Amino acid sequence: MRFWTAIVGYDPRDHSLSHNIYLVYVFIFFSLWGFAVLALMADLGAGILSLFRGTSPIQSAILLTTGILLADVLLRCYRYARRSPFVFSEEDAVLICQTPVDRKQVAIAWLFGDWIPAGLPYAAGVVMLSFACLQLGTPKGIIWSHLPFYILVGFRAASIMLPLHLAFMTLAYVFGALRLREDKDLMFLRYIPIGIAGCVLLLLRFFPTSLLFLLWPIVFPIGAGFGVTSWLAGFSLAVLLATLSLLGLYLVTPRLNLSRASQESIFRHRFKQGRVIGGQTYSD
Amino acid sequence: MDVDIHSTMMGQPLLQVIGLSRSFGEFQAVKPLDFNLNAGEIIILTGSNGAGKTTLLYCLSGLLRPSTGNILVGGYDLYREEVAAKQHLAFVPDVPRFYHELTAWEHLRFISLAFGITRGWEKQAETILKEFDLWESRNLYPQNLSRGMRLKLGISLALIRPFKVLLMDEPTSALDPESARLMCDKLLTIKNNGCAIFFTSHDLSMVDTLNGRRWQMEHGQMDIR
Repeated sequence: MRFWTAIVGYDPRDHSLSHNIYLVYVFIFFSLWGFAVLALMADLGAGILSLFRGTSPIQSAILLTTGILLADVLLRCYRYARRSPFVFSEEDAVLICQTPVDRKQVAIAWLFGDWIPAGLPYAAGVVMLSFACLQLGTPKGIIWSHLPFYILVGFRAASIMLPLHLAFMTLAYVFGALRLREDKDLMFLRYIPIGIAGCVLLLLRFFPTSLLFLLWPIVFPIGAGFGVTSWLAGFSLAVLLATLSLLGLYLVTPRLNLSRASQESIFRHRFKQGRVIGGQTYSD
Repeated sequence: MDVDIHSTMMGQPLLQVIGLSRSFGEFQAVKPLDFNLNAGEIIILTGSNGAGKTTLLYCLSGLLRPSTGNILVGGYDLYREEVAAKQHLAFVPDVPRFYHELTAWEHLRFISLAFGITRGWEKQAETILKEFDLWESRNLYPQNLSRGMRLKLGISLALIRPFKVLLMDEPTSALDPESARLMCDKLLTIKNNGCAIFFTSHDLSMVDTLNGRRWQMEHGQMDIR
């Protein structure tokens, strides 16, 4: 986040009026730019949705989003069952992990720091798919009078996707935090997401209706995001799931061992930084 | 300087190391060892480069997980009771780490708040910075400080919070003679306050200066005297 905010000229120490005005300008600029890019990409989204035969574009969008979100969560759970979801730098390892700071606060802060860059592609994706559904449902093509509908469907989709993604990403962090309590190394945790993935595939093959029923907590809010059901009901469920997940993280992390988390993540932080600055190895 | 004076737990070592070893694949950097540190003890660990001194210190501080063994700080297991153990453990690496976005003064504030010291830390910070001749540099960022000044700032971050056990890796290597002398005086004060100190050094004169004990480490094996 530091890198991207620095790119656009954000200086956290500059509280001048001109800087604040500049930030408003940057926000508006990139909002409009993002909207335009997603609208242009709606063609790509329409093409993807058209690949699903026998279902409407909206149903295809719901299935696609559900599948991607579920796969992402299971993949994260598998990764976090083997290494820390909380990535600390060497500086963090010495200045934070060596202190008796509240582990819950560290976990929540690190989660939100990771969630923002991870959630934005999901929000952009569902907005693009919403635009694609609108485009496919408008046989005469897009005209300027459709702009309010674009904004509405985009907002509807993103406003549900963001808390829903937070809910499931937090769940994956809870999974990772369970392994990092005290000196316990619960090796069996890594088999749980594998088992769940296997069950999902079996149900998909032989009992797809049952699978949809089991995945209702994901499918219902996503459907609301695409206008199938009440937006308020879907949004409320997404927020409830996010709240429950955050509560779970809050309950699991008091005994989070930051030493173990930093031991598992220092090298990953170096590689991350190396990728950001063009493949150079980060070192003192 | 305000250090923790609750360090006189009756009969219990401040630092207990039980069966600690560390391997990197086939290479055993630290061979299994056991030792205790009691209140008022100073141990200077010497040895050639690559002997395993820094690896041992990193294991004791929690930055590196031992392959085997347990570490107890003030009676608290460093992994099972991490928060309680780290209340009493301070570590100064040979190359202290800082956030580029925080000034020297802000680092001291950060550490104070992390240890729940919300009042009185400013006076303590001022005293420490003046003692280390860093007061004029308090609003500078660590990357704008010299190597010696960064080391002094790293030591300051350890001294501003309470501890029972102080671990240091080459604490005087980058200090000028005057600062090194001041550092020794501080360590003696800490020792007299009932804390235990364990640090690595190539300067054998510190053994006599601090009236400490010298342990030698070679090829991962520690000779405890």
